[in-house]
Amino acid sequence: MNRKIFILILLIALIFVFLLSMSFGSKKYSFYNIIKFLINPKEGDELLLKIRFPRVISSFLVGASLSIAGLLSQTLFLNPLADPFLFGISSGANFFVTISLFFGWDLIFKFSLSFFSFLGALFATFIILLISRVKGKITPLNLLLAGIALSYLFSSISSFLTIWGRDVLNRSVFWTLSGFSTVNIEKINILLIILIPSIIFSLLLNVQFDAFSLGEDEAISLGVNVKLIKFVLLFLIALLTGISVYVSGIIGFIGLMVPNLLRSLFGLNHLKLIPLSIILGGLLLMTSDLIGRFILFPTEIPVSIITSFLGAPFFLYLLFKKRSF
Amino acid sequence: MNYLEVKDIYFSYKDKEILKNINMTINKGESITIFGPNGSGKTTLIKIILSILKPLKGEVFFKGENILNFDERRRAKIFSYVPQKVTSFFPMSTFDYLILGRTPYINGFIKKDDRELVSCWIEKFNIGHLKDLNFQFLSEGEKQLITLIRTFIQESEIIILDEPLTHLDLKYRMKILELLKKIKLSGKTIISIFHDLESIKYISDRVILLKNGEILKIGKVYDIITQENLTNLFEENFLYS
Repeated sequence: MNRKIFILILLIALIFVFLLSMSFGSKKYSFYNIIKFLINPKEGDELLLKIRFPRVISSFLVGASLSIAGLLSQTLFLNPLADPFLFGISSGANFFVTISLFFGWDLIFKFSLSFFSFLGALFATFIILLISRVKGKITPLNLLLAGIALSYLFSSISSFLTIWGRDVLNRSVFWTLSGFSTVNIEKINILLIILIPSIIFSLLLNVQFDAFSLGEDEAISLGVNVKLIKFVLLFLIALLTGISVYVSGIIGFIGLMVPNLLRSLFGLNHLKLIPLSIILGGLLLMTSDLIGRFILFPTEIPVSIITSFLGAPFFLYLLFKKRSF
Repeated sequence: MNYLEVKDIYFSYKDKEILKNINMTINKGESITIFGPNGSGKTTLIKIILSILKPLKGEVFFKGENILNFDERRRAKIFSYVPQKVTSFFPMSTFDYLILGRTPYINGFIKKDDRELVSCWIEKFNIGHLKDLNFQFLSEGEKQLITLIRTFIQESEIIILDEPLTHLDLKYRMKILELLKKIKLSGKTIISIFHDLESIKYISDRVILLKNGEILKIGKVYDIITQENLTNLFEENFLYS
């Protein structure tokens, strides 16, 4: 497909899905009303301002965060199958959130849950990075298996803690399943505070990331400070995954699907891949959330079920395509 | 002051001594080949020169300065590297692969000048038909050729090659050797590892014979590549003329 046409279709789809997501729900609005609301939000319906708009915007922003986290994970691990969900990074964030709920640390300071979510993601990414270095070089498939094992370990301990502490159970289940339905402007602000600098930083390092993707030896010979780039990648992945898990719980496969799809069209070029990941990732998660709200209306299906339904076949396709593994 | 000096290098991996007491100097514009059996420490030595590996003991000096005192960018403006097998983990266009040769010069974003420079070399080497193709799907020969062309884009003074002909057919072996000859004539310094004597004779001024991590002999090609030295190096009787 012509790349320019693809970008044009992507932008049109983004506007269309955004309007559709804003208009659909318990109360329906016409596109005209939505546009009127966007021009002057203060005069719009309170439902649009306080519930619908934060929900749609946060699904876009989390989609963007997860896509960039996926892209950067694939760069860090030199592995197209890397994904914050499959590699246990999201579960690590969830694990630390559960621990903080269990011990009541969520009330230490205002955004302590988001901080623990970040720490958990950082911890999990670091462990995977350590595993990837055991015995020299581990194959991409074995690293994936290690990630899945780690993910199960974190999830099982989280479940144990959730069942053990009754108080934790209520809050944790609510937090995990609520998805985007309880997102408020405050959460969107935190998302933006993390996401915007992460994007700027990633864009500034685009050439270094490209060179890093050729492997460590070549990257060093091209003048890349490999240790520094690894640290930056680790930190950015943890920030973006941590904030996504904090806002909407664990959502899988977005970080796997979006970068792989875009790389097959645009090649390895972070300067193109980062902005396109924002658009496609945001669009995909916004659409998934809309589908989740639509198919059993008025019952809502958690968005993670929709993304897994889309992502699992894509994952199998990648597995069979990459015969070199 | 020597152009490039490798001084008292020692390197070990898991208690195994890989390199012992390596001393050599390399002159500007010279082509020097490291030759020896598998496991003799050739690749380790060039990785130390490239600062990919840190020696246990010893230093590498460029124009009298320890290269470990240079930052990564400055080192990449001096040395460029063509590995034995070029790996690409992700799909990327040949143009995007070539432009990475500009990494040590780029702050933030790729500029128009960088693109023009790459286009200029693409035209010079007549590889326009490859520039939009996925680098992953090129033949091994094409990949090596492109990586060698990238060293021009990197504008480094010293080119280091680790068995660049190993996976290539005759056509690309000849192409690469011809290109290396051109690089040599342009005044650049070449440090290489080759496994065949014909390539060494074609491209090298001097040879270092490396055996069990130690320098056995060092000198001009025709003085060093002798039946006696080869027999000593490989512990096999060679019929060499």
